[in-house]
Amino acid sequence: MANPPQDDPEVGWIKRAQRGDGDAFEELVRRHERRVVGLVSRLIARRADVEDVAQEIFVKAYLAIRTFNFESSFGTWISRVAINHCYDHLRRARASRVAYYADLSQEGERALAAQADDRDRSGERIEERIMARDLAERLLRRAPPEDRVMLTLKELEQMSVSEIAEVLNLRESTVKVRLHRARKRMLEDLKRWRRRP
Amino acid sequence: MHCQAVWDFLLETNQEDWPEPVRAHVAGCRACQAAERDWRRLRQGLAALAAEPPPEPSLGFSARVRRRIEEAARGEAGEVLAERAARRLIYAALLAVLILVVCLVVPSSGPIRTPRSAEAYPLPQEMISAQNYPVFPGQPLDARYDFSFVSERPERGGGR
Ligand SMILES: [Zn+2]
Repeated sequence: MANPPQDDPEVGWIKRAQRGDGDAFEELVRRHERRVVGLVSRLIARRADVEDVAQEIFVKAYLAIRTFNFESSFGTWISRVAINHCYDHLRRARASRVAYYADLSQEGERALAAQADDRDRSGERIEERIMARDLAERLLRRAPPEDRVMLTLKELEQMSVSEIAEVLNLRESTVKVRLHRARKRMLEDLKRWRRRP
Repeated sequence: MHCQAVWDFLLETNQEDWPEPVRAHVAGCRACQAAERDWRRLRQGLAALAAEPPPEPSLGFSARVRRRIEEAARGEAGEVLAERAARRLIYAALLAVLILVVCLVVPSSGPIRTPRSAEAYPLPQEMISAQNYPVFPGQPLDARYDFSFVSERPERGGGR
């Protein structure tokens, strides 16, 4: 995500938006709405919340646009605003939960158990893939917010380590360590979950 | 080799890139075989999730964002006005309390008299009329006019 060339119309829109021009900001929204809605939908589990959260992100970006200094691309900057907002949202949602496993209903727990124990029944490949997908989704949803952000950016958004480092304003080595920790915790969670009585 | 060290390879590299000691450990360790199977399964699941296209923004998304920004700006302006009004109300209340305190603390005989202290000593009617009454020559002043009430505390209504 490099800096945009100076003749990019986006530069003009950003400068106008920084002076409070609503039309220019609406152009920026149109240009980046897919990216932001996509990110939000992958980071936030509740589909019903996606549009609302994406709108909140753009309102936040509008109020902070004067702090944008063209050091990164606008795409990187708006992604950073989006990820930080989703991270806060996930943390608030997590704080309101009673316990670590409490976000899964009994029905959900039974489904997860069935999927986790089903691995040896290697039958139809499509069915197996669907079950693996659901298992990954459930474990992602249970992961701590920082792990969820890391794994989503790497595994679902398929960003490189350097892209993640840029968007999160971290060193690449830090990203590697956090990614490794997130993967390990996800695997341990599955193992621990299986050991439950 | 320790299982935890094997996991580090398992999570970060593909099976074909494992060094020989890791391969040898996994071949003889059931826990690491299970972990490897789990991780392969999770990666498969994550890849399936990545392949799903994310939802598109609904029609008119940018216009709704703009409306929300305008509402936020109006809300902010309203908040500023409400805050200003509330501040004025507080100042007025403080001033009223201050005046009340001053009225209670300053004694009634001081420079500020309460209506009650003014009422307690009305100027007697006789004194007012005496001041304007003509004095006739040869008449002792106190023969006609009795000023004894001056030294007494008068009753309300000014009766003698
Ligand atoms: Zn082992």
